[in-house]
Amino acid sequence: MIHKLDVRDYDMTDVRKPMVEFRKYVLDNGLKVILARNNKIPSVVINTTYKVGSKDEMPEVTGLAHLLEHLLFEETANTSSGEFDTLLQSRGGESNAYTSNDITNYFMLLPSNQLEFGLWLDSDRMAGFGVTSESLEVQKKVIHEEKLLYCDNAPYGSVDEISSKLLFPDCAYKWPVIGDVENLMQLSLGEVEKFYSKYYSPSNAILTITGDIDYSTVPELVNKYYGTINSNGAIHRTEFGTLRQTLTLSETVPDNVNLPSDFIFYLVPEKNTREYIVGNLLSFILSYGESSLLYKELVYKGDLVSDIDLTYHALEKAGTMSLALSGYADKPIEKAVEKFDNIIGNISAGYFENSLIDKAKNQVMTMYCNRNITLISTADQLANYEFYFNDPEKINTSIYDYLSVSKNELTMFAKKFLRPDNRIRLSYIPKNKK
Amino acid sequence: MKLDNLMLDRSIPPLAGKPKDVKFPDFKEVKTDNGITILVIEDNRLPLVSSSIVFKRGKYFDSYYGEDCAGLGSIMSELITLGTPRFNGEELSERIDYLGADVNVSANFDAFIVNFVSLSKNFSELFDLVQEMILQPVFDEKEFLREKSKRLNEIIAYNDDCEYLSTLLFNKVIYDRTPYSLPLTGTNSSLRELSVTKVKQLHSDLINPGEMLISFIGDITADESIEKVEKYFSHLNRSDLKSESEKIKLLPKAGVYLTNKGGAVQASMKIGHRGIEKKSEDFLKIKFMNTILGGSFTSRINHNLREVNGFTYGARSFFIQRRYAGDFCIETEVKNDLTAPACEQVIKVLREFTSEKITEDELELTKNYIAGSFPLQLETPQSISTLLINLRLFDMEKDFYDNYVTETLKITSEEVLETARKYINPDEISYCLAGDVESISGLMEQIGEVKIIQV
Repeated sequence: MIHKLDVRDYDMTDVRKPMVEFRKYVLDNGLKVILARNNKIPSVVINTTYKVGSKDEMPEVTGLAHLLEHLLFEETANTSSGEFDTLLQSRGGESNAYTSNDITNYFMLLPSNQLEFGLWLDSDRMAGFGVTSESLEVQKKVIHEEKLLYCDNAPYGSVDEISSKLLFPDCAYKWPVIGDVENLMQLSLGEVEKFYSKYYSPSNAILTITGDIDYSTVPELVNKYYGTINSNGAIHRTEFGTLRQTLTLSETVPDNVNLPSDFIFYLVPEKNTREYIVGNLLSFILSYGESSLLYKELVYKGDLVSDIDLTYHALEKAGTMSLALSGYADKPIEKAVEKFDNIIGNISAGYFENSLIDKAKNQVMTMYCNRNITLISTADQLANYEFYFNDPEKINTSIYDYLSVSKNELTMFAKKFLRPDNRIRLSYIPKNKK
Repeated sequence: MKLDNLMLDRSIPPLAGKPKDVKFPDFKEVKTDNGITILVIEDNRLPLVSSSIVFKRGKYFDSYYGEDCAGLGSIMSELITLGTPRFNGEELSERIDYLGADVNVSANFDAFIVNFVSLSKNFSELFDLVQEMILQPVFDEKEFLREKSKRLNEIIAYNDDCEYLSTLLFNKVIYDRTPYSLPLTGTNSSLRELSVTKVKQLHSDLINPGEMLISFIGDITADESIEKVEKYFSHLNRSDLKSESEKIKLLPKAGVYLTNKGGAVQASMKIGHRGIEKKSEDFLKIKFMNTILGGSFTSRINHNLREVNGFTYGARSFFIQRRYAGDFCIETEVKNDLTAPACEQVIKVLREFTSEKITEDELELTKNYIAGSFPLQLETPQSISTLLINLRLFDMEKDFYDNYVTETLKITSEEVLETARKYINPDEISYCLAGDVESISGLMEQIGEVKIIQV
């Protein structure tokens, strides 16, 4: 018997709002600036997001955005390779970077008395190209090892590459962020610089600073280091291509693993949509926590697979909802897929308890309060909300979007997108061992 | 071509402003009559409360319940969430998820830990559920069997991962025949030996108020915190059982050890030897020395293997310090044909590092880096809680974190060399690799006589 649960209302006065106070403005050269003061610790984060990702590459030269990130992450015109990080660490800071299909993001963490130094170092990346061919050759090798580590040698490590190819055959999400590594080895410094010159312009970037800052002095510093960099005008991006309307492909992939796993991907709407909110809430209902529908039915009670995971991954131009089913050696995963289809069928028909929605909303609420807890994640989210929604205020308001989702919307989402003719399926099986 | 404002000379880095002091947050510490230590940090900036309930009887003590009991503590920690007299496992997870809470139960070698967090308005209800799980678990036989078979399956999956295999191999070699050599989740043979009776035995030894710590951080007052502990835990009787053991003396056992993952195109390497236990007067010096050796991006190890040679995506070194013993380890992943060259580079770095003083630049850089990144350890309730609990778990001075930066700034390059020589000995190094043995064993013969071990 399930103990009766009381339904709570969402009293937003619980949340001391606004959660994140910030200011946003644009420099004359087009650089967008977001400042968010928070002085709980004497540190600052400088986050520069360039609106360039793997989808801006040409199909014949993929992996360029990520290669450039590797290079610019540790070398600029005024700091040689090695010197960048030595300088940064000697000021008590450290840095990291990532590349996605849509963006390239660099961030730096420093004691707040080193803010000006950090702005100097970060802006040097935007001010000019200083990569040497020695660094290029070393980073090609490093990326090759990165590919071995996360793709070739990792169990089920090819899921990303194979699924992208099947989901997005006619557009620039077709190739993985790391790109065609063999091809990458042939790239010249000139080709890298050309890509840099096209995309690393202030008008194509978002600068976000969080932490122990002074609103009255920071804009002047930002202007000193970034305002002096010229914009190179409008960027003519490469064609993105088109999305498929139906998908029914499935593929069996023999891999160097001991256990089978299945991966199912649905094509769903992109980030800046109401459907993204609805679908994301649905993913909480389906797979967040041990009492979630899928965990309970497929793992805990059903014992059909050993684990499940369902994720809504949204990009600028498209999204995917992916289900991972980790199988047992001696049980067919097919049974779990059938059960999953039944559950989706019930949701599409509106057969599910309202309490599931309330629970998911409670979970989103806790996550909402918990997620702005570090300066790094606050900066990252502000930059992402600016990039995807042109609205960093979403960091404070998106919770209302989630709390307003209705049962009917969830049902409609499942009916419209979680259709058998809108998905691909990869079945990983153990290949014969030596 | 971009043109800079001619007024700005970008070649000169700007100077630093005046540094600010960093203080560990004030905390309140109270001991209940039956011996429970309560630690509270009040912080109402977010409407959240994070709490941890910690027991000193960690996984290290699995072996007190039978010869082959690896995984006992860890399986108990899973079962804790799977049923109380009032609620079965499904109902418990339903209620926790409904409160929008997170409850995480885990066992490491040194302690058994329950971490939980929720919005402050739901915290009383959550605390009531968690105390019930801890004090009155039913340890249902059916759930136990389910957990056991889940684990046997997990072990099969883990064996696909070179990093997991090299960790098992390294622990087996370094901690030879001590509890630290065994995998936390258990082994195929130990899982068959475990029983509900043993789980219950361990649980009854665990619930000993004299070995309990409870921390509260966030939107809650000290009085409210103490009241909760008194309400639910004051009836517990202190037992004489002490979760204490002798320090383990680990003997050097240098060698080249491989374990097989057929078809792997990259090998996971762990290179190291025995280290020291947690409570040590050299804690800060070891951290300092290791930061230069392999504890940061500019470290000697990462610089050599990644930036100079392009052998790897990343390499690092660390000292694992547990209550009764510890180890020193350098880890990285490289292509099969680079295994031996990478080992040669590592030993070269170690020989230099233990024979020559670091430069004054490195000394200054490291001081600034450690001092500059210290505040980050005080950024989240979770990270503060970990520091706070470690303070008590490992009997450190109350002002340890307040002195952290000033003590670090006093370290000299002579002391760094002294510490390196005291805790690192290149002649006692063991090389533990998981990968495709057929492809790498010939190469690794260049480093030393290869022994193949199954883990």
